[in-house]
Amino acid sequence: MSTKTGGSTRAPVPAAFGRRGFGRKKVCRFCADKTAVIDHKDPATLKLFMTERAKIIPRRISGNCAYHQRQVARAIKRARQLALLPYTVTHT
Amino acid sequence: MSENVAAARPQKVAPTSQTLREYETIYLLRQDLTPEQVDRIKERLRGIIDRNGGRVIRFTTWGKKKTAFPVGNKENRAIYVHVLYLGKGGLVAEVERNLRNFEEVLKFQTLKVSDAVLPETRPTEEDVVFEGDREDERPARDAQSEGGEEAEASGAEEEAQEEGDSEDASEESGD
Repeated sequence: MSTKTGGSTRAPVPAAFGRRGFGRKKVCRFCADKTAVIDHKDPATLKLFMTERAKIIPRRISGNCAYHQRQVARAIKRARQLALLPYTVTHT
Repeated sequence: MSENVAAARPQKVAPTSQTLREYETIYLLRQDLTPEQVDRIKERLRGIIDRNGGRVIRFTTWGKKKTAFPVGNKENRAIYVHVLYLGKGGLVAEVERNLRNFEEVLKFQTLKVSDAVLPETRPTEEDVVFEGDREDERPARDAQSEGGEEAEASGAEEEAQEEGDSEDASEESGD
């Protein structure tokens, strides 16, 4: 269960307090699976990190680590420029 | 198509006068172009890159794909072409200047893949052509709708939605 995010320096708190007692610890997909690549030419994977309204899912929700979240966000923005992914789903 | 680049990543070398940079450009073409016209643009681009001291590694034609939003003249499809090439500084500017001049090119994006590549380590590869999305993504509705009223009703709803979308699009053009 121990991760890089490093709770080791902090005083030990019951798990229930640390994560409000809900669910399991989220793991960065790309740290867990070293073979997975983040590529702006692969919209199918990037779509997993977007909401239905085509917003980028924050890492608070997705569980990505900071490093991979930056890469994902950059890849999504690049894919958007090529019209592989939408900027928005509502066109007014 | 994505694994092609990642698979053959050369080992890192320090930039010297011997090394070149590796770039990738993706450009979108109008959907009504014939394969011959796509090839012609490809060859022109290859000529430009060769003339400016670069070398094309591979052209990959992804084929006609649906775009996430209307591109160019309200088109929802475009032919995607991906080109990987080696070159020195200034080549990208020249390539992009030409892409801008091609009437058929709707959009393009260039990225630096690697800062320093020994040209010998990246041999020229054969061009790849993919089919692209199928033109008719929806399954034949007639076969299903014979059964009951529900299927027909849902079909009508979808048509209504489509009309709504097209109206929206026309409003955009008014602005």
